[in-house]
Amino acid sequence: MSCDQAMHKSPDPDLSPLVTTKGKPVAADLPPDLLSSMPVKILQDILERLPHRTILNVVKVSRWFRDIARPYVWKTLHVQRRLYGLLIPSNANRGPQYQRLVEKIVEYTRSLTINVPKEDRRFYHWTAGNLPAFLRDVQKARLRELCIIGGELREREISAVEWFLNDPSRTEFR
Amino acid sequence: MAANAQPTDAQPKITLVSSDNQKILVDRDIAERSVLLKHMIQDFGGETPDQDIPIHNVNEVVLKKVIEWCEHHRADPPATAEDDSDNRKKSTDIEEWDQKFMQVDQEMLFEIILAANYLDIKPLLDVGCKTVANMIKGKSPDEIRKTFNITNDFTPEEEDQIRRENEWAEDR
Repeated sequence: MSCDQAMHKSPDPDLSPLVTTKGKPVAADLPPDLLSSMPVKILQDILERLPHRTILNVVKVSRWFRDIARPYVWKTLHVQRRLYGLLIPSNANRGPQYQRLVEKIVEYTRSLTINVPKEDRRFYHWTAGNLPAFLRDVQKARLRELCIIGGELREREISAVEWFLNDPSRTEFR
Repeated sequence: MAANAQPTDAQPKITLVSSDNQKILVDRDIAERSVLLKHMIQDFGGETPDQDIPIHNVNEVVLKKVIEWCEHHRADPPATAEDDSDNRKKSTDIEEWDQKFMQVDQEMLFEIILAANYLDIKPLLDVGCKTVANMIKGKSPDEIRKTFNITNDFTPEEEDQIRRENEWAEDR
C-alpha cells in the first residue's frame, strides 16, 4: 500500500500545514473515517460525480477535503450564468481577489460558455463588452472551447475573440 | 446488461488465495474481469495457471464479495474507451442489482472499492464511487461529517476564509 500512502500527500503544498485540530470525531460509535483514508485517485473519481452545489459543501468538511475538492469548485462551476460576476472585478481595481479568480480560471477552465438567456438579455452587451479584457487576462488559460450563445458580437468583440483564438490549439468557436 | 450465467464444469478454474490464506476456486472468465488477473494469466503464456494466485491485499470475505459481483456481470461486454468519457464519469446512476449489492456497511463498501482498485475492475470501482457520491450528494458539510465520521479540523478563521473564498460561487 506504499503507493496509496504516497498519494496521500497534500495536493497543494502551498496550503497551510495541519497544525491545529478542532473537535473530535463526530461519533465514537460510527465506523472510523474511512473516506478520508481513500487514495486520492478514488476520491477524485467520487468528486467528479458530484454537482457544483455539493462540491461547495465538501470543501467545508475538513482541511483534507478542502485541499482535495477545491479544484472541483472550478471544474464544476457553471460559468454561463455567472460570467458577468467574474467580469465585475475586471472593471474594478483588479485587486487581489480578482487576481485569484483569474489564476483559478487559468488553472482549471477548459470550456467556457457565455449563454445569455432572454431574461438576462440586459447583461449581454455588458458581458460581451468586457470580453476583450477578459480574454486578455485568460490568454494563458487552458481554455480550448469558447461558445457564445444568445446575441451578436460587435466588431471589437469579434476581433478580441479572433485574437484569442489565434493560437491554433484553441480551435472551437461557435 | 448483467446476466446470471452460472459457472460450468467445462470452464477452466483458477485458485485465488486471499490475504488471510483462504483458497477460492473461480472460473477463469470470472477471474479475468480483473485486468490485474488477466495480465497475470497472460504472463503464464495464456494457459490457465495450475498454481495458486495470491491476492495479497484482499481478504476472503471481500474477495468473495468481489467474485459475486464478477459472476453477476460475467456476460457484460468489456469496457470501451467511451466508458471513460466525462459523461460516464459524471453519472451516478446505478442499476438495481448493483444498488442492492452495495447495501453493505461502510467498512465493506470501502474494502470493495479498494479491492476493485487493486484488482483493476473498473466497472466495480465505478459502482463503488457512484455509491459514495450518492451518499454525499445533497448533504450539508455537517451531514457529510456525520455520515462518514469525519473530524472538522478547521479553525474558526479557516472556516471563515473558506466561506469568504466560495461566497461568489454560491447560488444566489
